Amino acid sequence: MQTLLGLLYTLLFLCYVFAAIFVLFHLLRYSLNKQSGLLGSLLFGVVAAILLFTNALLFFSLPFDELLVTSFVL
Amino acid sequence: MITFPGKRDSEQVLHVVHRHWFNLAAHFFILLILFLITFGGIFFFTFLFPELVAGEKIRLVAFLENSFLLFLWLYGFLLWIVYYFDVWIITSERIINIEQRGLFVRHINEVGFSRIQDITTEVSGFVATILNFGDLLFQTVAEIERITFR
Repeated sequence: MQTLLGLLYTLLFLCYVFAAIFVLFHLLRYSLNKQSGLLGSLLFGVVAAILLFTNALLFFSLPFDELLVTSFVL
Repeated sequence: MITFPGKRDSEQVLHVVHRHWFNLAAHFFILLILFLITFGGIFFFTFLFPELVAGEKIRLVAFLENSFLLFLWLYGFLLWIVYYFDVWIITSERIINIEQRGLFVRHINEVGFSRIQDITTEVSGFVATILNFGDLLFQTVAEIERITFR
């Protein structure tokens, strides 16, 4: 069960990462004003990186044994 | 300085026109509500469902909130990209219409001033009338070509 959840999370995480990469690509590639494009991508990139990092940390700190037992008992 | 691929040396960018801000605001309003629900949830959970934030379960709640915030952040920028990169660039020689539809559809066409035959404006609806925005339609010399800007 834990492996399945891990796989699903990896898939979701990769989707987030790819979406973030494509957003960054657009901001950098298509901005008419390069300065504002850089600023926007910096803002987006920093916040997205922090959120992705904390998301992974939170996932791996989840007490699966306890949560799964509780869920199945209920 | 505003520049774009294919810009001629002789031409000057006169104006960059984005869609009316109401288009973006309508989408961002929903995003704001979801954002407030996410943050409000942290406080309301403590009062309404104390058993959910007790012990180890707080980590699960934090993970779900973080995932949702990440989704909102990405979705917000996706909305911004669709709004901000959907533009008309009016130069001293032509009008360049860039249509951005999502992340993977980008349509660009251009019309020289000499090819424009007819311009139609259309304001329809209560909000559009109050805020003064609508559609601008260009009929070019080529019969079929009709460019719309919302």
